[in-house]
Amino acid sequence: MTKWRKGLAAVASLATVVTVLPAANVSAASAGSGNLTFKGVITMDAGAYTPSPPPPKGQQGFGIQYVATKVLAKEFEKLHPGITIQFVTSPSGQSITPWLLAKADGGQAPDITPQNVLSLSSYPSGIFTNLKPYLQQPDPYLGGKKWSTEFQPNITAQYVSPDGGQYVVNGDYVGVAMYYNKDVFKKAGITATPKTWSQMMTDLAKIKAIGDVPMEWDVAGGYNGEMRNLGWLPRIFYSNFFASQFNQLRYTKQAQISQEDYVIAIKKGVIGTPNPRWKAMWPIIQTLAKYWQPNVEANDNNGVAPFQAFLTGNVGIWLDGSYSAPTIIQQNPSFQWGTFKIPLLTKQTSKYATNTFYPGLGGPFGGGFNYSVSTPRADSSMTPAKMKAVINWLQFLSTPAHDSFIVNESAGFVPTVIGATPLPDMKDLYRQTQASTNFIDGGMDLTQNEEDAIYRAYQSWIGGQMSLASFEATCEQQMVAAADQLISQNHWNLSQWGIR
Amino acid sequence: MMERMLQSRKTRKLSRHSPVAYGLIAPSFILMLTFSYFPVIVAIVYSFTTWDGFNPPQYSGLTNYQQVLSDPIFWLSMWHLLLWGLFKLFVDLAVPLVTASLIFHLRSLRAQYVYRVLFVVPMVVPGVVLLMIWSFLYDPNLGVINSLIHHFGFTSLTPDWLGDPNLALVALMLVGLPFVVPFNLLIFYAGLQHVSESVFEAATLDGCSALSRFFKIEFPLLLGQTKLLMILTVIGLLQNVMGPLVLTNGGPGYATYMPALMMYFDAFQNNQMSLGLAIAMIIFVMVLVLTWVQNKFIRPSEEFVN
Repeated sequence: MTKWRKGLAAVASLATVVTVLPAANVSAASAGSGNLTFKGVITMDAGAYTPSPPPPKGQQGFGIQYVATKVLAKEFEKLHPGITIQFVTSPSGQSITPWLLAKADGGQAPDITPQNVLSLSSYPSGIFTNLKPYLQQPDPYLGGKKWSTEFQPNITAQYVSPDGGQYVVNGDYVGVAMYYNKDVFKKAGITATPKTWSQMMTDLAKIKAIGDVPMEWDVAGGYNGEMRNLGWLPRIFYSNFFASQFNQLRYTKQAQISQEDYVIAIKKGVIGTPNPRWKAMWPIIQTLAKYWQPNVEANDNNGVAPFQAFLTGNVGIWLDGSYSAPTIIQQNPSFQWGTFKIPLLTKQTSKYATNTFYPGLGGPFGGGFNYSVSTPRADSSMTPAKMKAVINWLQFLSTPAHDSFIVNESAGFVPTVIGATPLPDMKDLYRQTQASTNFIDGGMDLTQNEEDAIYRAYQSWIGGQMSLASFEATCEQQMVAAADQLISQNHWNLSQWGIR
Repeated sequence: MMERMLQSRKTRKLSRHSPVAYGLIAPSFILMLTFSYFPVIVAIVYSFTTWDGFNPPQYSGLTNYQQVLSDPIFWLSMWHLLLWGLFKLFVDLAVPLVTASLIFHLRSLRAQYVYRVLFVVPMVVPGVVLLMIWSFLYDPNLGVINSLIHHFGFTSLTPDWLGDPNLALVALMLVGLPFVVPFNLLIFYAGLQHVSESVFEAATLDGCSALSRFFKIEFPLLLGQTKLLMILTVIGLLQNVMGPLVLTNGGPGYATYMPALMMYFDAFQNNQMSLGLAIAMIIFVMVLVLTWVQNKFIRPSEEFVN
């Protein structure tokens, strides 16, 4: 973490340097920039990378000022006279979904919006353009190579939707780490960060014994109440428990376990309550939950409360994304802090543990560079000529130099485009993006309905209102219902796996 | 005879001016039809379809209504609504009414003005901000409420306000304490200003105590305002999405689930807009019925009012 901190503290100076870089990069990248006939405005909700408004007088230097997308927009406009990039934002403080849905209904959706690929199921079909055909086309900024060659195959594999399309292009990656308070660890007599899950449980008990909160985290993590961050736990456990069965679970032989694979596994009883390996996670979570903050089941204003609690200095461990590191640095807490990797699950914790470390907790989904393009139905201004220009703009943004420029400005994410350069002290996280991220989620986030119902059942179970057996029964019922829904929606013929 | 003549003259005058009058009203009327009534009609029609909010709807009859009415979660949310409604109706009407009466009878007009302003100022704070503040007040680690409980030495009694399924709904109900709803206060205060001064003078001469003056004179004469505020409170509660959404997201589990929240989730999270519309229609019918009941059974006195 010391490395991270040093690196992140240097972000301000780096940002200044990097701000000067794009001009050179652009001229290199734009040797060919494609011939566009479209003239007019491209609207983009750049999400996390929306250019910051100028800070009020006297408040310069407070917070990160995002300028990269604005700088690149100016360069793009120079390359393509007659095209203007206009940044728009959804109303602050609320989910983008209702806003975008209302816009799309009126044919007024922005041309480009930020989308978490895991949340696409909360939108009706037909709002976003399938980018797969465009990814197969030449990218003028890559000297005519296919646009798809810019993206890491292991990440692209995770972006395949149930219908086989790809609706989001990704350019960054977010890590998840255990932030810890070194002073609390010292006070509790913990001399080294835990390497295994059982060591962590011992440490949490020690922290509890001295009267501090052992662990804080934002379990709800959103306005819509999806499992979101709770979903991190199944990923840690099942990626380990099912590691040796990864290839068997790839029924459809795609690079990653697809939603269709999950559906098959659920229908066959491999994923779900019929399998004791799947059930083994929940009692471990129940034990872990005893160490979480008291209001862990409450909605928590998108993670603000756990973060503030960590800053009080009375919390041992805080589980959160890499995006939070710059904010901690900014807050300059009075205690020493660091991070450690998610501890390894071993046989000491469960007989199903396979000693397989899954490095990729976090991933591309929670990043900011995840962009979708609206269809002509959702965005009546989207003519074929404009679509070409919009794709060209995305291709421009996703060159290695530009991806680095945009993403490094955040200091909490790493760029994922092949050839992009992370900040010097984010290289560990960058290596994760390239590692084999064979993750297994556990089949609990196939649809929003399913995810929401399981999350609420989980809350009732942890809160003592529901037995473990009832909770598991709810999970099974919801997973099977979601599987049936996906089979019906996508007209999958799964008879070769004995599923009708 | 005289009255009839006047009436007939009025009618003639109106009909002479009617093209102009209608012309002047027309833009507002068209806008109202377009933006207020048309969406409602569309919502009614689409509630009988299967619609995801974007793609063409398909007629499905009463399926959505059957699905909603047979869903135990809907009835659980209705139970929560009933509990919350009873509580809210009482406190949101009683507290402002008493407060308005206390302010109204202050001798100093300046003091009346100051108190009115003090109670009404919170109105300018946006609702979401207020909810965020309450969220921090309730935080078991950092919140003011539990800090006070700690301070007075009752450490073992610090509740998990929003995280405990048995307490979360109560915690939501308590948002807004001390319940001096500014709008309600102003309406009651305005009502009191319209009560004839002679009524209060007569009460004083008869030796009426403040308590009996409140129950026997003020409250009956403010029934009109009470009725209006009852209707508005019920409508507000039935449409209450923001509170549970921001503070608890309807949880833990379904502990604070409300019909309007269910409508929101179905429409904007679960891709089932028509199901959300069916819930909206059920809420709409409930508002209509409750309004009719109130209009039918609460008949305020017009006597002694200026």
